[in-house]
Amino acid sequence: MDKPFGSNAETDRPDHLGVFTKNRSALIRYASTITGDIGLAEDVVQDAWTRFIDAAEVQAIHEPDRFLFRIARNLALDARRRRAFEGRLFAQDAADAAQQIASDMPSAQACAEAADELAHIIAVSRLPERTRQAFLLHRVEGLTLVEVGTRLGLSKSLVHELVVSALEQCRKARRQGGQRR
Amino acid sequence: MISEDGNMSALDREALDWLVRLDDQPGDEAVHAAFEAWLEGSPAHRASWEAALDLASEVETAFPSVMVQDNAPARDGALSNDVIALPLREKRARSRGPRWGLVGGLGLAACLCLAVAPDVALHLRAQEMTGAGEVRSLVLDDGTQVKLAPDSALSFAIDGKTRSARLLRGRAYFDVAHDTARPFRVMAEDTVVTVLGTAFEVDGLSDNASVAVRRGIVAVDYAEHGPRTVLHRGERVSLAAGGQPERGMVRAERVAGWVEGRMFVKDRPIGEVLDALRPWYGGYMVVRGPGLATRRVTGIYDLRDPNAALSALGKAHSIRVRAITPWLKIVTVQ
Repeated sequence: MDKPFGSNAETDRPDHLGVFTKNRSALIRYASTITGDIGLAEDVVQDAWTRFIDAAEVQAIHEPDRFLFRIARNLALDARRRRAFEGRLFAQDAADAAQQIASDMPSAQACAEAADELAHIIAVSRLPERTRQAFLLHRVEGLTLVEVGTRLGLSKSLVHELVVSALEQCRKARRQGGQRR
Repeated sequence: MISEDGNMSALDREALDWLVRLDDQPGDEAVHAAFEAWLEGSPAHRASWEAALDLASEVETAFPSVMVQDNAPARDGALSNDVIALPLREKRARSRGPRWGLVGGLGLAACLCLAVAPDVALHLRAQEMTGAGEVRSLVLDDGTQVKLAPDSALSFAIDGKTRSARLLRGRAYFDVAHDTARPFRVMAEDTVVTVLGTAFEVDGLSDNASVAVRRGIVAVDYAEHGPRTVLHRGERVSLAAGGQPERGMVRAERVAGWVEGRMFVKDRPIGEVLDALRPWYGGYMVVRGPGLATRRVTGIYDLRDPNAALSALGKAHSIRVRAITPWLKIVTVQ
Protein backbone atom coordinates (compact mmCIF):
# COMPACT_ATOMS: atom_id res chain seq x y z
CA MET A 1 0.00 0.00 0.00
CA ASP A 2 2.92 2.30 -0.58
CA LYS A 3 1.80 3.39 -4.00
CA PRO A 4 1.45 7.07 -4.70
CA PHE A 5 -2.27 7.29 -4.23
CA GLY A 6 -2.36 11.04 -4.06
CA SER A 7 -0.67 11.57 -7.38
CA ASN A 8 -3.72 11.06 -9.52
CA ALA A 9 -4.48 14.71 -9.90
CA GLU A 10 -1.15 15.56 -11.44
CA THR A 11 -1.25 12.79 -14.05
CA ASP A 12 -3.78 11.36 -16.45
CA ARG A 13 -4.20 8.32 -14.31
CA PRO A 14 -7.75 7.48 -13.46
CA ASP A 15 -8.80 7.79 -9.86
CA HIS A 16 -8.58 4.14 -8.89
CA LEU A 17 -8.33 4.85 -5.21
CA GLY A 18 -11.57 6.78 -5.43
CA VAL A 19 -13.24 3.81 -7.08
CA PHE A 20 -11.93 1.52 -4.38
CA THR A 21 -12.96 3.77 -1.52
CA LYS A 22 -16.42 4.20 -2.92
CA ASN A 23 -16.90 0.44 -3.32
CA ARG A 24 -15.01 -0.84 -0.32
CA SER A 25 -17.94 -1.65 1.93
CA ALA A 26 -19.90 -3.16 -0.96
CA LEU A 27 -16.85 -5.28 -1.82
CA ILE A 28 -16.63 -6.55 1.75
CA ARG A 29 -20.30 -7.32 1.81
CA TYR A 30 -20.00 -9.22 -1.45
CA ALA A 31 -16.88 -11.13 -0.44
CA SER A 32 -18.51 -12.16 2.82
CA THR A 33 -21.36 -13.84 0.95
CA ILE A 34 -18.63 -16.23 -0.18
CA THR A 35 -16.37 -16.42 2.86
CA GLY A 36 -19.27 -16.31 5.31
CA ASP A 37 -17.06 -14.24 7.58
CA ILE A 38 -16.57 -10.47 7.66
CA GLY A 39 -12.98 -10.61 8.94
CA LEU A 40 -11.88 -12.89 6.18
CA ALA A 41 -13.81 -10.79 3.67
CA GLU A 42 -11.92 -7.68 4.78
CA ASP A 43 -8.61 -9.44 4.20
CA VAL A 44 -9.78 -10.58 0.82
CA VAL A 45 -10.79 -7.08 -0.21
CA GLN A 46 -7.47 -5.63 0.94
CA ASP A 47 -5.70 -8.27 -1.08
CA ALA A 48 -7.94 -7.51 -4.06
CA TRP A 49 -6.91 -3.87 -3.93
CA THR A 50 -3.17 -4.64 -3.97
CA ARG A 51 -3.68 -6.95 -6.91
CA PHE A 52 -5.74 -4.34 -8.62
CA ILE A 53 -3.05 -1.67 -8.40
CA ASP A 54 -0.43 -4.17 -9.55
CA ALA A 55 -2.56 -4.83 -12.61
CA ALA A 56 -3.14 -1.11 -13.13
CA GLU A 57 0.62 -0.58 -13.27
CA VAL A 58 0.93 -2.58 -16.45
CA GLN A 59 -2.36 -2.09 -18.21
CA ALA A 60 -5.31 0.20 -18.55
CA ILE A 61 -8.27 -0.95 -16.50
CA HIS A 62 -11.42 -0.26 -18.40
CA GLU A 63 -14.12 -1.01 -15.91
CA PRO A 64 -12.36 -0.65 -12.59
CA ASP A 65 -15.34 -1.40 -10.37
CA ARG A 66 -16.33 -4.51 -12.21
CA PHE A 67 -12.73 -5.64 -12.30
CA LEU A 68 -12.39 -5.11 -8.55
CA PHE A 69 -15.49 -7.15 -7.80
CA ARG A 70 -14.23 -9.90 -10.03
CA ILE A 71 -10.85 -10.07 -8.34
CA ALA A 72 -12.53 -10.03 -4.93
CA ARG A 73 -14.80 -12.85 -5.96
CA ASN A 74 -11.98 -15.08 -7.08
CA LEU A 75 -9.88 -14.38 -4.02
CA ALA A 76 -12.88 -15.04 -1.79
CA LEU A 77 -13.47 -18.40 -3.47
CA ASP A 78 -9.78 -19.22 -2.94
CA ALA A 79 -9.92 -18.20 0.70
CA ARG A 80 -13.03 -20.26 1.26
CA ARG A 81 -11.43 -23.33 -0.30
CA ARG A 82 -8.28 -22.89 1.73
CA ARG A 83 -10.20 -22.50 4.94
CA ALA A 84 -12.25 -25.62 4.25
CA PHE A 85 -9.03 -27.54 3.76
CA GLU A 86 -7.47 -26.18 6.95
CA GLY A 87 -10.68 -26.79 8.83
CA ARG A 88 -10.58 -30.43 7.95
CA LEU A 89 -6.95 -30.58 8.90
CA PHE A 90 -7.26 -28.99 12.33
CA ALA A 91 -10.35 -30.93 13.23
CA GLN A 92 -8.24 -34.03 13.39
CA ASP A 93 -5.88 -35.17 16.09
CA ALA A 94 -2.27 -34.50 15.30
CA ALA A 95 -1.82 -38.20 14.80
CA ASP A 96 -4.47 -38.24 12.13
CA ALA A 97 -3.19 -35.14 10.43
CA ALA A 98 -0.57 -36.82 8.34
CA GLN A 99 -3.06 -39.32 7.10
CA GLN A 100 -5.48 -36.52 6.41
CA ILE A 101 -2.93 -34.74 4.27
CA ALA A 102 -2.26 -37.90 2.40
CA SER A 103 -5.92 -38.53 1.78
CA ASP A 104 -6.42 -34.95 0.69
CA MET A 105 -3.99 -35.37 -2.14
CA PRO A 106 -6.27 -37.58 -4.18
CA SER A 107 -9.16 -35.23 -3.46
CA ALA A 108 -7.17 -32.30 -4.88
CA GLN A 109 -6.56 -34.51 -7.86
CA ALA A 110 -10.25 -35.32 -8.01
CA CYS A 111 -11.07 -31.63 -7.91
CA ALA A 112 -8.83 -30.91 -10.87
CA GLU A 113 -10.40 -33.81 -12.71
CA ALA A 114 -13.84 -32.51 -11.90
CA ALA A 115 -12.94 -29.10 -13.26
CA ASP A 116 -11.56 -30.74 -16.35
CA GLU A 117 -14.77 -32.65 -16.80
CA LEU A 118 -16.83 -29.49 -16.40
CA ALA A 119 -14.75 -27.67 -18.96
CA HIS A 120 -15.33 -30.51 -21.31
CA ILE A 121 -19.06 -30.56 -20.78
CA ILE A 122 -19.36 -26.87 -21.40
CA ALA A 123 -16.84 -26.35 -24.14
CA VAL A 124 -17.64 -29.37 -26.17
CA SER A 125 -21.26 -28.45 -25.99
CA ARG A 126 -23.32 -31.09 -24.43
CA LEU A 127 -25.25 -27.99 -23.53
CA PRO A 128 -27.67 -26.44 -26.00
CA GLU A 129 -25.85 -23.84 -28.04
CA ARG A 130 -27.67 -20.84 -26.68
CA THR A 131 -27.21 -21.95 -23.09
CA ARG A 132 -23.55 -22.54 -23.71
CA GLN A 133 -23.01 -19.14 -25.24
CA ALA A 134 -24.90 -17.33 -22.53
CA PHE A 135 -22.95 -19.16 -19.87
CA LEU A 136 -19.54 -18.56 -21.39
CA LEU A 137 -20.16 -14.90 -22.13
CA HIS A 138 -21.30 -14.32 -18.57
CA ARG A 139 -18.87 -16.59 -16.80
CA VAL A 140 -15.68 -16.36 -18.85
CA GLU A 141 -15.90 -13.01 -20.54
CA GLY A 142 -17.47 -11.36 -17.55
CA LEU A 143 -20.34 -9.65 -19.35
CA THR A 144 -23.37 -8.65 -17.33
CA LEU A 145 -26.62 -10.47 -17.99
CA VAL A 146 -27.91 -7.40 -19.81
CA GLU A 147 -24.83 -7.30 -22.03
CA VAL A 148 -25.13 -10.99 -22.79
CA GLY A 149 -28.78 -10.41 -23.69
CA THR A 150 -27.85 -7.61 -26.06
CA ARG A 151 -25.23 -9.77 -27.70
CA LEU A 152 -27.54 -12.72 -28.19
CA GLY A 153 -30.76 -10.85 -28.72
CA LEU A 154 -32.39 -12.24 -25.57
CA SER A 155 -34.04 -10.72 -22.54
CA LYS A 156 -32.14 -10.39 -19.31
CA SER A 157 -34.44 -12.81 -17.53
CA LEU A 158 -34.00 -15.43 -20.21
CA VAL A 159 -30.22 -15.08 -20.04
CA HIS A 160 -30.47 -15.51 -16.27
CA GLU A 161 -32.47 -18.70 -16.79
CA LEU A 162 -29.94 -20.03 -19.28
CA VAL A 163 -26.97 -19.38 -17.01
CA VAL A 164 -28.69 -21.03 -14.04
CA SER A 165 -29.64 -24.00 -16.17
CA ALA A 166 -26.01 -24.34 -17.34
CA LEU A 167 -24.95 -24.45 -13.70
CA GLU A 168 -27.59 -27.07 -12.96
CA GLN A 169 -26.30 -29.20 -15.81
CA CYS A 170 -22.79 -28.85 -14.47
CA ARG A 171 -23.87 -29.98 -11.06
CA LYS A 172 -25.79 -32.90 -12.44
CA ALA A 173 -22.84 -33.98 -14.51
CA ARG A 174 -20.52 -33.57 -11.55
CA ARG A 175 -22.73 -35.72 -9.43
CA GLN A 176 -22.85 -38.48 -11.98
CA GLY A 177 -19.09 -38.23 -12.27
CA GLY A 178 -18.85 -38.56 -8.50
CA GLN A 179 -20.90 -41.71 -8.53
CA ARG A 180 -18.57 -43.26 -11.06
CA ARG A 181 -15.58 -42.66 -8.89
CA MET B 1 -28.37 -30.01 -0.79
CA ILE B 2 -28.74 -32.64 -3.39
CA SER B 3 -31.11 -35.41 -2.54
CA GLU B 4 -30.10 -39.01 -2.91
CA ASP B 5 -31.85 -39.49 -6.21
CA GLY B 6 -29.72 -36.77 -7.75
CA ASN B 7 -32.46 -34.23 -8.18
CA MET B 8 -31.86 -30.74 -7.02
CA SER B 9 -34.13 -29.37 -4.40
CA ALA B 10 -35.96 -26.11 -4.90
CA LEU B 11 -33.53 -24.54 -2.45
CA ASP B 12 -30.55 -25.63 -4.50
CA ARG B 13 -32.08 -24.02 -7.48
CA GLU B 14 -32.72 -20.84 -5.53
CA ALA B 15 -29.11 -20.83 -4.36
CA LEU B 16 -27.86 -20.97 -7.95
CA ASP B 17 -30.26 -18.20 -8.75
CA TRP B 18 -28.67 -16.05 -6.07
CA LEU B 19 -25.20 -16.97 -7.23
CA VAL B 20 -25.94 -15.66 -10.70
CA ARG B 21 -27.71 -12.59 -9.45
CA LEU B 22 -24.96 -11.61 -7.03
CA ASP B 23 -22.29 -12.16 -9.67
CA ASP B 24 -24.23 -9.96 -12.01
CA GLN B 25 -24.79 -7.11 -9.56
CA PRO B 26 -22.21 -7.56 -6.85
CA GLY B 27 -22.53 -3.99 -5.63
CA ASP B 28 -26.29 -3.74 -5.51
CA GLU B 29 -27.59 -3.13 -2.00
CA ALA B 30 -31.13 -4.29 -2.62
CA VAL B 31 -29.88 -7.57 -4.06
CA HIS B 32 -27.67 -8.08 -1.04
CA ALA B 33 -30.42 -7.31 1.43
CA ALA B 34 -32.79 -9.76 -0.25
CA PHE B 35 -30.06 -12.37 -0.41
CA GLU B 36 -29.21 -12.04 3.26
CA ALA B 37 -32.87 -12.42 4.18
CA TRP B 38 -33.02 -15.56 2.09
CA LEU B 39 -29.84 -16.97 3.58
CA GLU B 40 -31.13 -16.52 7.12
CA GLY B 41 -34.27 -18.45 6.24
CA SER B 42 -33.05 -21.76 7.64
CA PRO B 43 -29.92 -23.89 7.99
CA ALA B 44 -31.03 -25.66 4.82
CA HIS B 45 -30.78 -22.40 2.92
CA ARG B 46 -27.24 -22.03 4.13
CA ALA B 47 -26.36 -25.57 3.15
CA SER B 48 -27.70 -25.03 -0.35
CA TRP B 49 -25.70 -21.84 -0.59
CA GLU B 50 -22.50 -23.62 0.43
CA ALA B 51 -23.16 -26.25 -2.22
CA ALA B 52 -23.64 -23.50 -4.81
CA LEU B 53 -20.30 -21.98 -3.78
CA ASP B 54 -18.61 -25.37 -4.14
CA LEU B 55 -19.91 -25.50 -7.66
CA ALA B 56 -18.78 -21.92 -8.31
CA SER B 57 -15.27 -22.91 -7.23
CA GLU B 58 -15.17 -25.80 -9.62
CA VAL B 59 -16.52 -23.76 -12.48
CA GLU B 60 -13.93 -21.07 -11.79
CA THR B 61 -11.18 -23.69 -11.93
CA ALA B 62 -12.55 -25.08 -15.15
CA PHE B 63 -13.21 -21.73 -16.76
CA PRO B 64 -11.20 -18.99 -15.16
CA SER B 65 -12.73 -15.64 -15.92
CA VAL B 66 -10.97 -13.74 -18.62
CA MET B 67 -10.96 -10.26 -17.26
CA VAL B 68 -7.42 -9.90 -18.41
CA GLN B 69 -8.18 -6.49 -19.83
CA ASP B 70 -5.40 -7.06 -22.34
CA ASN B 71 -4.86 -4.02 -24.42
CA ALA B 72 -8.05 -3.35 -26.21
CA PRO B 73 -11.29 -3.07 -24.36
CA ALA B 74 -13.08 -6.12 -25.64
CA ARG B 75 -16.33 -4.38 -25.08
CA ASP B 76 -15.73 -1.38 -27.26
CA GLY B 77 -17.69 -0.65 -30.36
CA ALA B 78 -17.31 -2.80 -33.39
CA LEU B 79 -14.87 -5.16 -31.78
CA SER B 80 -17.31 -6.36 -29.24
CA ASN B 81 -19.28 -8.30 -31.76
CA ASP B 82 -16.21 -10.01 -33.04
CA VAL B 83 -15.19 -11.36 -29.71
CA ILE B 84 -17.72 -14.07 -29.67
CA ALA B 85 -19.17 -14.04 -33.14
CA LEU B 86 -19.35 -17.74 -33.71
CA PRO B 87 -20.74 -17.35 -37.19
CA LEU B 88 -18.75 -15.15 -39.49
CA ARG B 89 -20.07 -11.66 -39.58
CA GLU B 90 -19.91 -11.03 -43.22
CA LYS B 91 -18.19 -12.84 -45.94
CA ARG B 92 -17.08 -11.28 -49.13
CA ALA B 93 -15.42 -12.82 -52.11
CA ARG B 94 -12.50 -14.80 -50.88
CA SER B 95 -10.37 -13.78 -53.78
CA ARG B 96 -10.91 -11.64 -56.78
CA GLY B 97 -9.33 -11.56 -60.15
CA PRO B 98 -7.13 -14.58 -60.38
CA ARG B 99 -7.80 -17.04 -63.14
CA TRP B 100 -9.56 -20.22 -62.35
CA GLY B 101 -7.75 -23.38 -61.72
CA LEU B 102 -7.91 -26.43 -63.85
CA VAL B 103 -10.53 -28.46 -62.14
CA GLY B 104 -12.48 -30.20 -64.82
CA GLY B 105 -14.77 -33.11 -64.34
CA LEU B 106 -17.96 -34.45 -65.61
CA GLY B 107 -20.07 -33.87 -62.58
CA LEU B 108 -21.36 -30.75 -61.04
CA ALA B 109 -20.35 -29.41 -57.69
CA ALA B 110 -20.91 -26.28 -55.70
CA CYS B 111 -20.79 -25.20 -52.16
CA LEU B 112 -23.29 -23.16 -50.23
CA CYS B 113 -22.62 -21.51 -46.96
CA LEU B 114 -25.20 -19.83 -44.75
CA ALA B 115 -25.03 -18.19 -41.46
CA VAL B 116 -27.85 -19.35 -39.38
CA ALA B 117 -28.09 -18.33 -35.80
CA PRO B 118 -27.63 -21.06 -33.22
CA ASP B 119 -30.92 -22.68 -32.59
CA VAL B 120 -31.96 -24.75 -29.65
CA ALA B 121 -34.55 -26.60 -31.71
CA LEU B 122 -32.03 -27.53 -34.34
CA HIS B 123 -31.67 -31.07 -33.13
CA LEU B 124 -35.32 -31.64 -33.76
CA ARG B 125 -35.15 -30.71 -37.40
CA ALA B 126 -31.72 -31.69 -38.54
CA GLN B 127 -31.12 -35.10 -40.01
CA GLU B 128 -27.40 -34.65 -40.05
CA MET B 129 -25.33 -32.53 -37.69
CA THR B 130 -21.62 -32.20 -37.29
CA GLY B 131 -19.65 -31.18 -34.24
CA ALA B 132 -16.37 -29.35 -33.85
CA GLY B 133 -13.68 -30.37 -36.31
CA GLU B 134 -15.84 -32.92 -38.01
CA VAL B 135 -16.51 -33.13 -41.75
CA ARG B 136 -19.19 -35.63 -42.65
CA SER B 137 -19.66 -37.21 -46.07
CA LEU B 138 -23.20 -38.10 -47.03
CA VAL B 139 -24.60 -39.81 -50.09
CA LEU B 140 -28.26 -39.04 -50.60
CA ASP B 141 -30.66 -41.52 -52.16
CA ASP B 142 -30.32 -39.97 -55.58
CA GLY B 143 -26.55 -40.32 -55.54
CA THR B 144 -25.86 -36.69 -54.64
CA GLN B 145 -22.80 -36.36 -52.50
CA VAL B 146 -22.74 -33.89 -49.65
CA LYS B 147 -19.89 -32.81 -47.42
CA LEU B 148 -21.06 -31.17 -44.24
CA ALA B 149 -18.57 -28.78 -42.63
CA PRO B 150 -17.90 -28.74 -38.88
CA ASP B 151 -20.64 -27.33 -36.69
CA SER B 152 -23.25 -27.56 -39.44
CA ALA B 153 -26.70 -29.05 -39.76
CA LEU B 154 -28.66 -30.26 -42.75
CA SER B 155 -32.04 -31.77 -43.49
CA PHE B 156 -33.08 -33.17 -46.85
CA ALA B 157 -36.00 -34.72 -48.69
CA ILE B 158 -35.65 -36.82 -51.80
CA ASP B 159 -38.72 -38.31 -53.44
CA GLY B 160 -39.91 -39.29 -56.89
CA LYS B 161 -40.58 -35.74 -57.98
CA THR B 162 -38.34 -33.39 -56.14
CA ARG B 163 -35.00 -33.23 -54.42
CA SER B 164 -34.39 -30.66 -51.76
CA ALA B 165 -32.08 -29.97 -48.86
CA ARG B 166 -32.13 -27.31 -46.20
CA LEU B 167 -28.97 -26.05 -44.63
CA LEU B 168 -29.92 -25.23 -41.05
CA ARG B 169 -26.52 -24.06 -39.95
CA GLY B 170 -22.96 -23.82 -41.14
CA ARG B 171 -21.81 -24.80 -44.57
CA ALA B 172 -22.05 -27.68 -46.95
CA TYR B 173 -20.66 -28.75 -50.27
CA PHE B 174 -22.92 -30.49 -52.77
CA ASP B 175 -21.92 -32.61 -55.71
CA VAL B 176 -25.32 -33.08 -57.27
CA ALA B 177 -26.25 -36.17 -59.24
CA HIS B 178 -27.49 -35.27 -62.69
CA ASP B 179 -31.25 -35.63 -63.05
CA THR B 180 -33.09 -33.08 -65.18
CA ALA B 181 -36.48 -34.49 -64.23
CA ARG B 182 -35.98 -33.68 -60.57
CA PRO B 183 -34.37 -30.31 -59.96
CA PHE B 184 -32.24 -30.12 -56.87
CA ARG B 185 -32.87 -27.21 -54.52
CA VAL B 186 -30.98 -26.11 -51.49
CA MET B 187 -32.58 -23.70 -49.09
CA ALA B 188 -30.75 -21.67 -46.53
CA GLU B 189 -32.87 -19.25 -44.58
CA ASP B 190 -34.53 -17.15 -47.28
CA THR B 191 -32.16 -18.16 -50.00
CA VAL B 192 -32.99 -20.80 -52.56
CA VAL B 193 -30.33 -22.32 -54.73
CA THR B 194 -31.58 -24.26 -57.71
CA VAL B 195 -29.11 -26.55 -59.28
CA LEU B 196 -29.07 -26.54 -63.00
CA GLY B 197 -26.44 -29.24 -62.81
CA THR B 198 -23.54 -28.70 -60.47
CA ALA B 199 -21.13 -28.99 -57.62
CA PHE B 200 -21.29 -26.04 -55.27
CA GLU B 201 -20.85 -24.76 -51.76
CA VAL B 202 -23.45 -23.11 -49.60
CA ASP B 203 -22.08 -21.09 -46.74
CA GLY B 204 -24.48 -20.31 -43.99
CA LEU B 205 -21.92 -18.68 -41.79
CA SER B 206 -22.55 -15.21 -43.06
CA ASP B 207 -25.78 -13.41 -42.44
CA ASN B 208 -27.12 -14.56 -45.73
CA ALA B 209 -26.21 -17.59 -47.70
CA SER B 210 -23.25 -17.29 -49.96
CA VAL B 211 -22.86 -19.69 -52.83
CA ALA B 212 -19.75 -20.64 -54.78
CA VAL B 213 -19.64 -22.95 -57.75
CA ARG B 214 -16.97 -25.49 -58.45
CA ARG B 215 -18.54 -27.11 -61.50
CA GLY B 216 -21.70 -26.55 -63.50
CA ILE B 217 -24.39 -23.91 -63.16
CA VAL B 218 -26.68 -22.87 -60.33
CA ALA B 219 -29.35 -20.22 -59.92
CA VAL B 220 -29.53 -18.30 -56.64
CA ASP B 221 -32.66 -16.53 -55.45
CA TYR B 222 -32.39 -14.31 -52.43
CA ALA B 223 -35.95 -13.97 -51.24
CA GLU B 224 -36.40 -10.22 -51.23
CA HIS B 225 -33.42 -9.08 -53.13
CA GLY B 226 -34.07 -8.69 -56.77
CA PRO B 227 -33.55 -10.96 -59.67
CA ARG B 228 -32.09 -14.41 -59.73
CA THR B 229 -28.35 -14.71 -60.04
CA VAL B 230 -26.98 -17.41 -62.30
CA LEU B 231 -23.53 -18.64 -61.38
CA HIS B 232 -21.05 -20.58 -63.44
CA ARG B 233 -17.86 -22.32 -62.48
CA GLY B 234 -15.59 -20.18 -60.37
CA GLU B 235 -18.26 -17.66 -59.49
CA ARG B 236 -19.70 -16.81 -56.16
CA VAL B 237 -22.43 -14.60 -54.79
CA SER B 238 -23.38 -13.24 -51.40
CA LEU B 239 -25.48 -10.38 -50.21
CA ALA B 240 -23.59 -7.11 -49.90
CA ALA B 241 -24.16 -4.80 -46.96
CA GLY B 242 -26.78 -2.89 -48.94
CA GLY B 243 -28.78 -6.07 -49.45
CA GLN B 244 -27.95 -6.48 -53.09
CA PRO B 245 -26.43 -9.66 -54.44
CA GLU B 246 -22.71 -9.17 -54.94
CA ARG B 247 -20.93 -11.40 -57.40
CA GLY B 248 -17.33 -12.34 -57.22
CA MET B 249 -14.81 -14.78 -58.58
CA VAL B 250 -13.15 -17.58 -56.75
CA ARG B 251 -10.67 -20.15 -57.93
CA ALA B 252 -12.87 -23.10 -58.66
CA GLU B 253 -10.58 -25.66 -57.05
CA ARG B 254 -10.60 -23.60 -53.91
CA VAL B 255 -14.34 -23.72 -53.47
CA ALA B 256 -14.97 -25.62 -50.27
CA GLY B 257 -11.30 -26.10 -49.49
CA TRP B 258 -12.40 -27.23 -46.03
CA VAL B 259 -13.53 -30.52 -47.55
CA GLU B 260 -9.85 -31.36 -47.65
CA GLY B 261 -9.26 -29.61 -44.36
CA ARG B 262 -7.60 -26.58 -45.88
CA MET B 263 -8.50 -22.94 -45.80
CA PHE B 264 -7.32 -20.62 -48.51
CA VAL B 265 -7.16 -17.02 -47.44
CA LYS B 266 -6.20 -14.08 -49.53
CA ASP B 267 -6.01 -10.67 -47.94
CA ARG B 268 -8.76 -11.14 -45.38
CA PRO B 269 -8.99 -9.62 -41.90
CA ILE B 270 -7.45 -11.88 -39.31
CA GLY B 271 -10.67 -11.82 -37.28
CA GLU B 272 -12.46 -13.52 -40.12
CA VAL B 273 -9.80 -16.21 -40.31
CA LEU B 274 -10.01 -16.83 -36.58
CA ASP B 275 -13.78 -17.11 -36.84
CA ALA B 276 -13.40 -19.65 -39.59
CA LEU B 277 -11.09 -21.68 -37.35
CA ARG B 278 -13.60 -21.83 -34.51
CA PRO B 279 -15.72 -24.70 -35.76
CA TRP B 280 -12.57 -26.77 -36.02
CA TYR B 281 -11.40 -26.12 -32.53
CA GLY B 282 -12.96 -28.39 -29.94
CA GLY B 283 -13.05 -25.78 -27.21
CA TYR B 284 -13.88 -22.19 -26.60
CA MET B 285 -11.87 -19.42 -28.13
CA VAL B 286 -11.97 -15.83 -26.95
CA VAL B 287 -10.69 -13.53 -29.68
CA ARG B 288 -9.83 -9.95 -28.91
CA GLY B 289 -7.50 -7.09 -29.64
CA PRO B 290 -7.28 -4.01 -31.84
CA GLY B 291 -5.82 -5.84 -34.83
CA LEU B 292 -8.80 -8.13 -35.47
CA ALA B 293 -10.34 -6.02 -38.19
CA THR B 294 -7.24 -4.28 -39.45
CA ARG B 295 -4.61 -7.00 -39.74
CA ARG B 296 -4.93 -8.82 -43.01
CA VAL B 297 -3.87 -12.31 -43.78
CA THR B 298 -2.94 -14.35 -46.82
CA GLY B 299 -2.12 -18.01 -46.61
CA ILE B 300 -3.21 -21.61 -46.59
CA TYR B 301 -4.11 -23.01 -43.22
CA ASP B 302 -4.63 -26.53 -42.00
CA LEU B 303 -8.08 -26.56 -40.45
CA ARG B 304 -7.64 -30.04 -39.05
CA ASP B 305 -4.93 -28.73 -36.80
CA PRO B 306 -6.24 -25.43 -35.44
CA ASN B 307 -3.30 -25.14 -33.05
CA ALA B 308 -0.85 -25.33 -35.92
CA ALA B 309 -2.94 -22.84 -37.87
CA LEU B 310 -2.85 -20.47 -34.89
CA SER B 311 0.89 -20.73 -34.53
CA ALA B 312 1.29 -20.21 -38.30
CA LEU B 313 -0.75 -17.04 -37.93
CA GLY B 314 1.38 -16.08 -34.98
CA LYS B 315 4.59 -16.31 -37.00
CA ALA B 316 3.49 -13.69 -39.47
CA HIS B 317 1.46 -11.50 -37.17
CA SER B 318 1.57 -10.14 -33.73
CA ILE B 319 -0.85 -12.46 -32.04
CA ARG B 320 -0.65 -14.01 -28.64
CA VAL B 321 -2.35 -17.23 -27.71
CA ARG B 322 -2.92 -18.12 -24.10
CA ALA B 323 -4.24 -21.57 -23.31
CA ILE B 324 -6.12 -21.32 -20.03
CA THR B 325 -7.31 -24.88 -19.97
CA PRO B 326 -7.26 -27.42 -22.79
CA TRP B 327 -10.68 -26.07 -23.71
CA LEU B 328 -10.20 -22.38 -23.39
CA LYS B 329 -7.90 -20.22 -25.44
CA ILE B 330 -7.53 -16.46 -25.55
CA VAL B 331 -6.21 -15.09 -28.80
CA THR B 332 -5.06 -11.48 -28.72
CA VAL B 333 -4.32 -9.68 -31.95
CA GLN B 334 -2.21 -6.59 -31.46
